[in-house]
Amino acid sequence: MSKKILVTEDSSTMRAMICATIEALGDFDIFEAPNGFEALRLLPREKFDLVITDINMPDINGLELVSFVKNNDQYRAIPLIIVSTEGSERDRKKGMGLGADAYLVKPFDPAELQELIEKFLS
Amino acid sequence: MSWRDKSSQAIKEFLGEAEEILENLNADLMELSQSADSGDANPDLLNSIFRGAHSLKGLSGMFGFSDIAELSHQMENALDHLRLGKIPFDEPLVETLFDAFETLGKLVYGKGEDEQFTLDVSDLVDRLDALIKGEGTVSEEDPFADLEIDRSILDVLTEYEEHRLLENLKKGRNLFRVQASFSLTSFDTDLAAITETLKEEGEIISTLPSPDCEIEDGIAFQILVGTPLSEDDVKKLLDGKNATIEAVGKKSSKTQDKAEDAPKEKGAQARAEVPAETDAKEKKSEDGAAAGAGMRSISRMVRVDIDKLDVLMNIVGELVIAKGTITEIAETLRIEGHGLGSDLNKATRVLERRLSELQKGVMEVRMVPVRQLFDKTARVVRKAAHDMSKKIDLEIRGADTELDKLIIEDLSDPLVHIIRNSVDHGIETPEERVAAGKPETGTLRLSAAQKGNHVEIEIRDDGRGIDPEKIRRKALERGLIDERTELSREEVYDLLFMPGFSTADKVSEISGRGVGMDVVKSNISALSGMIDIDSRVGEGTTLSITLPITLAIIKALIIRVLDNEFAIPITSVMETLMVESASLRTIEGREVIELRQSTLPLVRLSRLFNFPASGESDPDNFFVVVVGMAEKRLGLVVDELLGQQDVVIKPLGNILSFVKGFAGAAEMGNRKTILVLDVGGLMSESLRGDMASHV
Repeated sequence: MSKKILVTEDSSTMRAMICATIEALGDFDIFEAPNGFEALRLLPREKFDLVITDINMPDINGLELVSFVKNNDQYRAIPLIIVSTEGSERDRKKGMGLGADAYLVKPFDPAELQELIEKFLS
Repeated sequence: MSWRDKSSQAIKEFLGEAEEILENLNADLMELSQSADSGDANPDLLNSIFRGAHSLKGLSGMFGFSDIAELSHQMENALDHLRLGKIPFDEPLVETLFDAFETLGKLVYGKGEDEQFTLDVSDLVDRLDALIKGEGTVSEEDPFADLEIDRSILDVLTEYEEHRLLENLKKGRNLFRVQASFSLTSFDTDLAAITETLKEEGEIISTLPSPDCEIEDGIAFQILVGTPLSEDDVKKLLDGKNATIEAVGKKSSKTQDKAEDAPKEKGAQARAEVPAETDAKEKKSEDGAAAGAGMRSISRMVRVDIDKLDVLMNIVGELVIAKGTITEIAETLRIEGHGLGSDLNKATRVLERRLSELQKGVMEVRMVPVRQLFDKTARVVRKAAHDMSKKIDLEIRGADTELDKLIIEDLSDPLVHIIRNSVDHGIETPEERVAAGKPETGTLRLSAAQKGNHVEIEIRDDGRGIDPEKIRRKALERGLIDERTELSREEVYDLLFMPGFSTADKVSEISGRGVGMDVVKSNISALSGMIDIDSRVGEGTTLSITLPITLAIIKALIIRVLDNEFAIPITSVMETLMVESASLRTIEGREVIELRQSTLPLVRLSRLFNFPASGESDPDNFFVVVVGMAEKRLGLVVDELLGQQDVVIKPLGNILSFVKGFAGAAEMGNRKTILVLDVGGLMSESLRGDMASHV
């Protein structure tokens, strides 16, 4: 059974890159959400093994999504990686404070993201 | 590993998205420069510009374009300071932003030509840096300490949102927490109904989703809004929207009595630490226009709304029809011996050639490779296989075959349905396959190929196949056929497309959605296409879809039945025959003729459409139009062949959509409108009709 990964990112190119990075790692079932709303719709529908999200997005921002996942008994256990251009210490702290499991700064090194995925999904 | 070594496709995608970002940036900066007169910037606008620079920075970083990344980073920095009210919104700033934007455009454009292209951005970076350096100090203490606000909300605010919250407090606006629960299926539109209303009178600071919801399988939202309105006003505003409104109070009573000073402003910038500057900025918009004009297209690609192409196509279609009218006039003149007739004829032929080039050109613009469609299905296959615990290899062939964009769009649902059927019912589980002596992994082959004016799409699986005997039994049970009905193999498989027929004993999660193959068939018919199914038990099932390349303008054969004229798309006409009544035979109650060693079933259109019989038609001879698609043929008996013509097919519209047998209406040169026969539909209707007559 391949594992399910939710990728929430509003930039289509960035989304494609994250997906390509994941696909290069092996057989995963990737679900793409171009905005926070779509992520909220997908979360109850699929049993995700990992969530990857951007921070700066229209409608629901990534921090709000992290809070939603980590304050919900149903999803709390899902590892969550923030991949954001927002590299400031303040945002990293906020994201991790909300319960995110890792914080990656864009432009990210694909190998670094792959390492994180392997770590969380092994 | 840098992404730029990866593929030129990725670079193209980058250019496409960068271009889009720059376009939006340009529009936003123009709007911003116009509001510069007031010294206030719309927070939504600033946020949008910030996000644009931010995305560009992220993207270019991934490709190792450090010049773009550095400049957009600095631009983002300046915008961040601006939106956080740390620096004033003034002319030098706007000017610098425009200069930076222009350089970004040049850089992106340059990379499109040559990836190594670069410009020195240090000067601009320094200028932006100098603007930021003038910033005031921002206190580090928690400004929200005395606010009775849930920590859960404060925790999810981005820096910008925090600033907006502070700004609303400074202005003495009231803060409210609006809570509402929605069903998961429609929460985005429901939520928008509330946020849009609130935005008219205030500012949305945060939208926090929460699972604690009154509705089962629903989702709740906590919206934090700042507004000059009172609690009662907000309640009135959201009356009937099923939301609870709660004022966010303050722990200590640090009253803000400037509340009435700033009614309904669109969100002014903080001016606490910086002196107000209200210099005139008349020339701003001119500068903006100049910068915009300097933008050249980068990726050499244009994105066009298909509706615009439709309009263009329609005009071309009408030109073709107008040309037809002129040709007719020229012909009449020539026959009447008018000297200008042949000159006009010659001129029309030149016009005709150019028109057909134009038509071809517009048509080519609409053509897209089926790859888009196939790529989408690849994901469906992967997911469906995974859900069903099956092992499936997807083979794709002929992905470069092109089809009209609109056909591709409308083909998506039927194709996904067929593929789900294959994965769900066709291909067996690995255990079943091994037991049947087949390889563990099933194969699903999607192929496309152009054949003349048609494109054939084939979906073939090597699954368990469909047992014709089972179909027959099911059709009997459903009363679709009767025990004596004799059906050929082909006819048995056609039963699958009849409404109300479904071989799946229970509706599964994957292929079931209340949609049967009959819907798939009618979708394909609506595209003037045909669908065929063939299957071998134990070996697999093949579905082939035959589609015209485009629907917009077609050549049609105009025929007459009694007093009625109809058009038949020439792409489905195989030949026309003059048949002697004597060669007519009847097999199983169906009129047929012998055509080159095979039997051709006939359909009398006059009978099919229930026209009152009139004895005037020639009893010795009649005309037959042989129509066919894929492997099937049918002879349509008509009274007269009136010749070929270009027609523009227009849909019949919803009111007439129940009328069977017609693909649409066509406008003729002489301003007459005639109906276009739906050949695919007629062929299956006639087969079905004959079977019904047996029952």
